[in-house]
Amino acid sequence: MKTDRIYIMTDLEGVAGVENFEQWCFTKGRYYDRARALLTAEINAAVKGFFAGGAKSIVVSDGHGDGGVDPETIDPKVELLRGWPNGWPLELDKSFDAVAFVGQHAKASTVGAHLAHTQSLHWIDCTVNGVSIGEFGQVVVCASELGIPVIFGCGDLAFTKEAQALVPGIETVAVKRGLRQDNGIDLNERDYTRHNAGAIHVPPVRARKLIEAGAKRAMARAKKGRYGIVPLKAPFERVVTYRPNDEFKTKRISRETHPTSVIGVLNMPFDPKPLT
Amino acid sequence: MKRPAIRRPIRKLYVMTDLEGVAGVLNSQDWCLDDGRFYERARVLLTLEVNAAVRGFLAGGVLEVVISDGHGPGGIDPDLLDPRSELIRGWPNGWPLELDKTYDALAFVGQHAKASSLGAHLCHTQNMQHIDFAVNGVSLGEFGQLAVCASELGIPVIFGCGDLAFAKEAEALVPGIETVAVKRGVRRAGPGETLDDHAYRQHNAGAIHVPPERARRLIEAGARRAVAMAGTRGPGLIPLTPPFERVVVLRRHEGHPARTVSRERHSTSVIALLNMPYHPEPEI
Ligand SMILES: [Zn+2]
Ligand SMILES: [Zn+2]
Repeated sequence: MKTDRIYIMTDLEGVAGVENFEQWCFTKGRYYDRARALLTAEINAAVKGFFAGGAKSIVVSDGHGDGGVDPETIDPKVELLRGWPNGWPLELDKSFDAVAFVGQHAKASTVGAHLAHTQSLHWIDCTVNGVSIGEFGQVVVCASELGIPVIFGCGDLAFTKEAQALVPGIETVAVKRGLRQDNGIDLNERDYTRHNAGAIHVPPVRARKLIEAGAKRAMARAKKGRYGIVPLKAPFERVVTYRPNDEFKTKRISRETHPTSVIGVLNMPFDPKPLT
Repeated sequence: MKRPAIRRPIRKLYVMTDLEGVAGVLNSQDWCLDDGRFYERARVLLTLEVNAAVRGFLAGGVLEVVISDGHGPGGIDPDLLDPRSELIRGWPNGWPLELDKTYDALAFVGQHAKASSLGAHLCHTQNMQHIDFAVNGVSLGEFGQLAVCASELGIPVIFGCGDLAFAKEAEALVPGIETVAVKRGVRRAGPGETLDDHAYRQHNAGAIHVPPERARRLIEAGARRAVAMAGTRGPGLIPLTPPFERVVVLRRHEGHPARTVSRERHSTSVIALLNMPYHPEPEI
């Protein structure tokens, strides 16, 4: 299949060397700038692999809430997308031939994950038609609706397993593995922030070599055969469950449906009700 | 018989600068306001774009370059600025912002599009309250306002870099200008004219950027081209016909629940008109 133009979704929590939320992922954190440098270097490694594998144009999408990509050190051959004022599918469109992920973390409540969450630490889970999907899965279903394959993802080991389960055949690279062995679904938002804070990391220099090689492998495999699209069946129902936090003392649930489009259902506003 | 245009060599150049049109300046809150997390980085990015333009201008034969810091809280880092230039900061005399007939041409670096532009990044005119600013029916942004002043003084506008919507705005207003686009705004469904000033700040916050290093190479080449080509593709001047009327439409904002309109006139000078205070009245 064609792999000329690639959309790379990026995030901070799945990067090797990014150790926790408080110091590394929040703007006020002691090492937030170092974390941005680490993500940007992982992106540059992936970009090198994609260009070596024949990519002609690459758009890097900054997916971390507070911003995770350093525009000053990103490979000058790419373009950088920041800000999604139109919601889903986050400016992904049919001009792209493939989607890839760098720095991705696993979905909320994943066992053995590092810094797992979906959208915010407030969410327990998000499902579409009964299939649990995290930030990765949400982009995947949008891409599949547009007919664009997802060919590569790197992040923590739990994320790579999640990716392979959702998108059979996807090329993945794990750069750290989380240590927590229970899912934490009954924790409140504050306690869940610290729940998945332990991991064994591949040091960044080695992680980047693995990522570059993985990206190159993904391109070679994509050229030979088609993979990376998940089957979708309308109508679509999205269900999100929420942890208790300072404002809401109980778990809550939000259900929305769309008759034809999974992108449509992802763009619907939430209306959480207490979970009984 | 048609006489060939007389091309005046460009010895002295005025460069107006702003922060919102710079590659890698990602949003307003973190990058353009002086308490923003990346405000210092944004100033560095603008200053390096300015230096790239200065290199191009000097390589093209310009002898003297004066940089004007046009961003409200400041956008130029004086420490990093090319030592061959001079820096203006503060315009105590109002329009035309210390531009005068000693200058041979005007250029722009880091410029954003005017308020309510489609497909623009961080576009605004003066502040988030302006919906539109027009003189004699022609909509003008920050670029257009200085361009009409320059035209009244007979100074051509030869170059502008910023986002793609700005580049298109500049080409439409000033025939013959050389432009370089370093990012393009994420398309929005409408211009956001019904939003209040707070909501409008978020309206144009998405863009696809050329990374700064590549942007600077494009700017240097564009600046050099602009000096070489000046006057060959168009006069670089906006035709002006007095009397002048300015119409400004302002969004609803704190203390003003509805849109307001301000209309002022001047019989001979567009510069004098721009210096007149606003008298906003409820829109009828
Ligand atoms: Zn995330
Ligand atoms: Zn401005």
